Amino acid sequence: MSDRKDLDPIEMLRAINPVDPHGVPSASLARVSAKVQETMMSDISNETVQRPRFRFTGLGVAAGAVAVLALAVTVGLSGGLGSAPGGVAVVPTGEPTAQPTDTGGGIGNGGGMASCLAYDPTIVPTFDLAFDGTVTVVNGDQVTFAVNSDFKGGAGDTITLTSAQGDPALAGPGIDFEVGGRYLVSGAGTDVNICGFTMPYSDADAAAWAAAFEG
Amino acid sequence: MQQPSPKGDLTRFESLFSAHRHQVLAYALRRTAIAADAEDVTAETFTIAWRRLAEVPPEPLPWLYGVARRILANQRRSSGRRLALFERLRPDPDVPTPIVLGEDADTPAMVALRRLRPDDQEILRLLAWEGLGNNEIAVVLGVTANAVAIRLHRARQRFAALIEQIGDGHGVKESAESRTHGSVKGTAGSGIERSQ
Repeated sequence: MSDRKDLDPIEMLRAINPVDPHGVPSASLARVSAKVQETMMSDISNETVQRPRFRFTGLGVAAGAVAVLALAVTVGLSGGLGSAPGGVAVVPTGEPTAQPTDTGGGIGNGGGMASCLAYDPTIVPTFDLAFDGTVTVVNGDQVTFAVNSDFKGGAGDTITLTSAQGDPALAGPGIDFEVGGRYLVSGAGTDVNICGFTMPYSDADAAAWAAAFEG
Repeated sequence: MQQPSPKGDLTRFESLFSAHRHQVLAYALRRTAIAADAEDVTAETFTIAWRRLAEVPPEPLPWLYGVARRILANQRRSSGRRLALFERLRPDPDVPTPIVLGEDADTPAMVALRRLRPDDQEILRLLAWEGLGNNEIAVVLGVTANAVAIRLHRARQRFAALIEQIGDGHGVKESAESRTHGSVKGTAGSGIERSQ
């Protein structure tokens, strides 16, 4: 019976399918992700985008930016087959200025932050969570914070979030939260945000966040 | 009319991209000689989907393939013009033939496929490699399902005849299943990695 199947021309064609969707190169997928994200960010930041019904203004721009950031997290970082989907990286930059870069460089070409939005504290109020917290427990990718000051999200006295490591080429280096360290943390759902939107605490950045919430 | 939600649209696009990026990239890789070209086609396909999200149907994959197909056609026309110029500048160019690469390139089925006219090639690839049924192929090609059934029937006949002609394919016959005009889903394929 199998011999007969082998002789079916269509089955012969199926058997020589040159590319299995599950085997497409992860680097190619990452480059595609970066290109698409670059276009989306450009569209959102440029209100002349040719999607008249999609013109963001005010909070809408920020809401769109948040969603694109989420895309960068859930799509970009899960671009590699076998990597954990929805993984979230944390960028511990003291100078939270993650400018979008030429995403054509892709993985492995040193294009760190390739998928990141430019850091802008005015975007922070559109995230689900934003607080000033001190790390009390680090258990794998689970980080528990004592909340010093809650900007948004009703974190309560303590909150535990997920801070998986991201791909440095896509979202910059990960952060090693240290017990006792104080951070300005933003998050989406139960995940810590990436790309400079979570950072070691500084008075200046805290003031910028506070101003953004007041504004 | 209800005002669309930007965040909702972005969430929908994210789901679309996550669900189908592998398949669209594989589609493009099967039809291009250079991986970078396939990446460009895939990125442009999803860019169009992003900008025309309201037009994306509930079953998006055939629509995405259709967009990718048109982008590939434009890309080929463009590269064809470049190649023509190159050939005029170099009378005896050593230009590699842009065919699907891999260790199966010289099998009777692949040789027969390449000898078919482009329309026949594409409809058979959509059946065998993308695993689409008649209705889905119709969306990709922008024709009716009935037209697909007729074209597929003829393409199968020509393909089988070519395999027999090639010699290694003597004794090749169509099974009862394959005579059902492509209404069955294809298998995932061999998983052979393409040369980079």
